[in-house]
Amino acid sequence: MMLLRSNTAHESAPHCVGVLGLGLIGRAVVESLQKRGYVPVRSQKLTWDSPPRLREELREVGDPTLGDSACEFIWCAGRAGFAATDAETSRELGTFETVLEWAESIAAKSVERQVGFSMMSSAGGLYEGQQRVDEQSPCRPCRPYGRLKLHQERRLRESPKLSQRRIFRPSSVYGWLRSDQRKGLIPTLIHNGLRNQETSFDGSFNTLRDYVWVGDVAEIVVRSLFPKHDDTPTNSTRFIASGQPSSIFQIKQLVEATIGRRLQLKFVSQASNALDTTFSANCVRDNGPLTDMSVAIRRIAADFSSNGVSLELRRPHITIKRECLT
Amino acid sequence: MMNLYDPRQPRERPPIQLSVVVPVYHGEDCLEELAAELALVREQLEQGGLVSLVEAILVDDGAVDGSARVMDALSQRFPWITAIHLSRNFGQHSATVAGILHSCGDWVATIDEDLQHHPKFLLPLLRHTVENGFDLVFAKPIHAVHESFVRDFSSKAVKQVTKLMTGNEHVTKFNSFRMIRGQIARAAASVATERTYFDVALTWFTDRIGLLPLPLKDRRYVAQRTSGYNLYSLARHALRLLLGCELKVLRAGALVGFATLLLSAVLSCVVVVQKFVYPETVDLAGWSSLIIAVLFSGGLLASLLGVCLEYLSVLVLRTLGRPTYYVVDRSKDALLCSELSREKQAA
Repeated sequence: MMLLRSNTAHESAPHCVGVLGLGLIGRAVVESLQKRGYVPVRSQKLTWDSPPRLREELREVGDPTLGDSACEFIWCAGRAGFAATDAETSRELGTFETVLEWAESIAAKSVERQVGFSMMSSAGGLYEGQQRVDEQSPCRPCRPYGRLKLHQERRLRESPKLSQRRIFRPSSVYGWLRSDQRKGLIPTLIHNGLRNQETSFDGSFNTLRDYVWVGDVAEIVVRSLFPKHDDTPTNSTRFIASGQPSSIFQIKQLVEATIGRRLQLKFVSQASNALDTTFSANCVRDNGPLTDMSVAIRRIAADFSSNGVSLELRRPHITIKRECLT
Repeated sequence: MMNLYDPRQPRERPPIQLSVVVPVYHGEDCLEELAAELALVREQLEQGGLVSLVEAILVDDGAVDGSARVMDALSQRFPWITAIHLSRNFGQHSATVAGILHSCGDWVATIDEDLQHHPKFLLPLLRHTVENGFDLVFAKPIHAVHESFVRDFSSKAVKQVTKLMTGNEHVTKFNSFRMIRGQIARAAASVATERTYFDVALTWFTDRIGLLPLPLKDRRYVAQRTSGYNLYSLARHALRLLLGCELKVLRAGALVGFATLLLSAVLSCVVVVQKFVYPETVDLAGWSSLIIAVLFSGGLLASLLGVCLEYLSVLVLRTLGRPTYYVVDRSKDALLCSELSREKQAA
């Protein structure tokens, strides 16, 4: 968990933000907050896979907000992936509930205190196999992971003590490849392509997904902490998707064109993950313009290049400013 | 408030989804009517319950009139209409590619903005495609589309010449009113560059290509004699078509070169034998050698040039995006075909 604080934040914005989980999205959220003047003030290692131990650790942490009038917790944690079992997801639900109870206990300390909670759900998990998903589409999770997200959302909505309950449903998020994180499709393709290694797919050439750049996800989440109007709804649910479906074939073409090498692909014949999941462009219009996939792929490839992997890009490098985490 | 999970709720969408892509350049006056016609077709398809028109993607290709505003209004009014705005005018093929890359349907139809490709023909086009096992069907105009001899004849002539030079028999079928298998449409759109002729790219992915005769009429051109294309852009369009295809005529030239080279080798043997065995038959010394030298050098140059051009052709096609292979899933066709036949019999 990372706690950030800002003394210059807008009146309606929280002065203290706790980011729970520093994986792909969590780190990007922290970076985005830092760009808006938030300074990391505390980093706390938590035991995510054991709710009793986590409860103990959070009790030791106490009230990290130091009496701030407005604070926000952003849940970006979660080890369970698409292939998670019921046992794994129920453990993760326990972890989530422990953290939520902790946030509720902080909110309960004072009536005047505004404690908000944002959670990263999963549009892919909730709407797996559905096409042109919009606000009217019913959630139909096909696997434990999707059901976990649905339970987490319900649990958050039913939390009366929190002043703001924001749910974000990102589609397939991709971003930097770091050794300590789950590898997404696109970074894996670049990574293996540069090393002439084969990449296995649980899907097919034509499987359609909606990919969204992690920087955009973080930007949308952080932007929501700065409401333009005072009448912000207490409960809000928002899709974070591009509204543009992409097939594996299309991504393969983009990656090959960027790294200048042919990719070696292997498709698993008994694909359990081959259902198309796409989102209506009309329901994500409020997200504003998102990073084009070809640009993002070049960013990732450039990152590989700067990390010592030999790579000749066809076009000039795009320099990314990334501030160091403290 | 979003809908929550209800496993008892039936799937609200039929299994076969149709996307319609419309590049828009000059459509302010027609888009309302087009949307109304599409809505009508959508309603009819929904009643049938087999095929659903899930989306109509309007691509603003740097429109020169107020189309962009109309498109946005339509997308607000109809949730199944999506408006995409390109940053400038990239041309009809690029706009079509952009629209297709935003589509998700099992089948993708591309139509023009001005109702010369009437939405009421979408289902017949789909039926013809599926019943005949095609991946791609072009509409074939029954009558002259522009009612202008020069325009209609030149269009046909360019396609015929290209067919002769390239050996691509599908070139004469090309039309912007298409019904394409979604996977193939998106794959071709993925590989297409700004120089790729989109219909040629489609032929790289399938040879199951059909035609359906339909009454098509470019009403705007017939009435106003104006078009989004001028002579220069039409010529550029034709050149792109020619360059996108593999030029068989170059290969033929290389073969002629090899044949000439071979002929010169045979003739030189004949001349040597004649010189030493039957010297009395040589009337004019040096003439035969000169002809053989010309044949040899000409044949050598032509054949080497042919090899070079073949290499160049490989590079050009690679740059234009021609794939090594592509895997397609046609498993839904049987269901659709049987349902369409049943529907037809019932009707």
